[in-house]
Amino acid sequence: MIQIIAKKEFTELLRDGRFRWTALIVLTLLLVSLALGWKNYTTVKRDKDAAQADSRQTWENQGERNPHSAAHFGVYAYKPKMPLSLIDSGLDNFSGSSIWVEAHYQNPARNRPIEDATALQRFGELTAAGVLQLLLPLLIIFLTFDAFAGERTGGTLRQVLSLGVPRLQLVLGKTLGVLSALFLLLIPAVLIGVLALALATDNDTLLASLPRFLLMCLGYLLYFIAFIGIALTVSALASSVRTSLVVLLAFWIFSCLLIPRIVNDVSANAIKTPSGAEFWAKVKQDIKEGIDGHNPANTRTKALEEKVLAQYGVAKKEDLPINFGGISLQAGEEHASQVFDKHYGILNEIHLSQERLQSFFGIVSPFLPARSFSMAMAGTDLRHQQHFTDSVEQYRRGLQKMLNDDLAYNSTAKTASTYRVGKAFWEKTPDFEYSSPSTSRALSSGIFSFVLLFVWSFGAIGLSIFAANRMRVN
Amino acid sequence: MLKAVELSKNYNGAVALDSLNLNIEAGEVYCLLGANGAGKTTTINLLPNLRDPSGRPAPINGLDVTREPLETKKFLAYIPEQVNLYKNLSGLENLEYFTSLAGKTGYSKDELRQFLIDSSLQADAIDNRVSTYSKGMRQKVGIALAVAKKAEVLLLDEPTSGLDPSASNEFSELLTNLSKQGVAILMATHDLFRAKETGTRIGIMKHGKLVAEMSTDEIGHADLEKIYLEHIRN
Repeated sequence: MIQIIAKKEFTELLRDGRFRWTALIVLTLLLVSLALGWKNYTTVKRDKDAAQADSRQTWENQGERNPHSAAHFGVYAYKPKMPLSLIDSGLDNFSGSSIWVEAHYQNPARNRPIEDATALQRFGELTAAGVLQLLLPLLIIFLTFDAFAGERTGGTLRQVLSLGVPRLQLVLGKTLGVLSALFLLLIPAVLIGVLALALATDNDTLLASLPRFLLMCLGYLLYFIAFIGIALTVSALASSVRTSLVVLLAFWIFSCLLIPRIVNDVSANAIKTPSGAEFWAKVKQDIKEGIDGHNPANTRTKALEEKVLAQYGVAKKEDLPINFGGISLQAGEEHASQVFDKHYGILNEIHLSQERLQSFFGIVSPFLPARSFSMAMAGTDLRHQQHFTDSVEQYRRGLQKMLNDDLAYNSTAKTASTYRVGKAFWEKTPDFEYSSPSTSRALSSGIFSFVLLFVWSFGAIGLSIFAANRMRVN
Repeated sequence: MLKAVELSKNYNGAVALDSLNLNIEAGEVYCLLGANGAGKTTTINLLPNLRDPSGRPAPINGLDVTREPLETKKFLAYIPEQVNLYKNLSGLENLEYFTSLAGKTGYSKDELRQFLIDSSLQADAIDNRVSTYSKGMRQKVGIALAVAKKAEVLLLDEPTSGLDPSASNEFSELLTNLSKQGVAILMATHDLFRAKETGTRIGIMKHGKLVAEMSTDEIGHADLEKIYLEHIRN
């Protein structure tokens, strides 16, 4: 019975010019956005790979230099573009894409693409995710708003119900019918998406991205089912076709346009982010006065000096077989690391709290969990950005230790000022290599959104069954 | 076959149907006459459970329509004044859909086509979209559906209003054929001539009550009109 209803709905939709034209427009936009995403991905990836290689080459060819001088010379770490960012660029345009790795400081990621964008681009770029999150629900509304209201006005609802069709089956049949019509454009889009992914990446990356891609598809499917359920509910309860359309469009504007804007303002006002100046003032204070404020830098150096002198059984720094300067630099790094862990920890927690607050608004708008889950799977959300900055910091600390240790143990107080290392040493230092979080880690950070989408889709279908049972025939 | 005992309905306190008793046997064509608002359409709507009766429910084939809405609907076919079909589907596709929904999924395309031809729908119109159909053609699809469904009870709400005399005549013949096959037919109509021609019994309704009941054998055309006007005017 469900199948028969679904097939009839599907046939009717296909014969309806409304579906043909809107589906064609949405499919075109989807394909264009995928092509743009693919082009953008390959260009940015090529540029970043080139820049990363360039930074390494400059590092290796910096010539003979004191290791600490090299630490200040620094290298750049670039955030690799995630393959699925060609579908959902997420926060990519708003978060820093490179970090300068230098001595003493954990620098924040800089070079946000949005800073270079023209005013027009601030309205947002055309991405497949944008089409799926914004336009597909609109298409669903256009296909479904008259599902019951239209049949009631046209009198066929009375005819169908007089035949003794259970309303549950009517709802499920209609849901399936609309879904099958959507699949007509979603299946080619998915295939083209995989093709774009395959063209843009090598085989290993493609295989590694597929689980994320499939989960992303599942998330969108739940999102679309939620909208079908909502549209069927409104269509069953609305007094006329026109009311149904108006109510559904209002819901679309509310959940896809208004709520996403409001939550940004609400979360930014409820949980304040410190300014850059405040942040760095606190960091510098803690470095100078000790992380607890009772252990100033000169006291720490004094204690370290006494310890090292006792360890080597000498009375003066000049008599040490090693370079105390290098030891002191590394001790400074290690203390600073604690300070950075504390303050970046606080900052990251502020960002995560803002994000958590935003995600609770997903209870009133299925758009929010759909967007978060898509970003999480694409690897373009806040957590992936934090994972990147954490990885760079781990790399920086390792590199600093290598440079400081070399200075400490291969030179002495006398030779320190003239101590130089060359290309052979620079080549031995590790290069920055980023490996993105696993699918299961991405899924665990997106689980709240996924559960919300699940609740939305099943809740909306449940609601439409309830509405269909309450629905009057005329 | 079709029995209504003390069937009543209020719309927000206004009485639409007041303790109506009806008993229609297999093969009977019962015509309900009455002015607009007399309760004819309400009666027809209550039987397939399109509306909840305010009082006691109507049994069909001994089954309670409100308590067993799906079971009773299997015996029953309903043809409203305007047979509503899906305009983007052809007559054949509409018939196929509705018969499938009625649980009769076994018919081949040819059998379904034959039902439409037997209901005197022009063969060349069967595959056209219903949006091109006239009112009479839609009625024929409705009759074909009732036949295909093997309905034992047929409910009709002013089926011949707006049909030209020849289409109306054709329609009456279809009803007569169905009643010969043992279908119990309840029809609300304003067409006294058709009621006398097609009906076996006639009931006149006023203010939700059945005020007169007679067999068509007992009266002539002129008598019927006279009786009708007497009841409606008083």
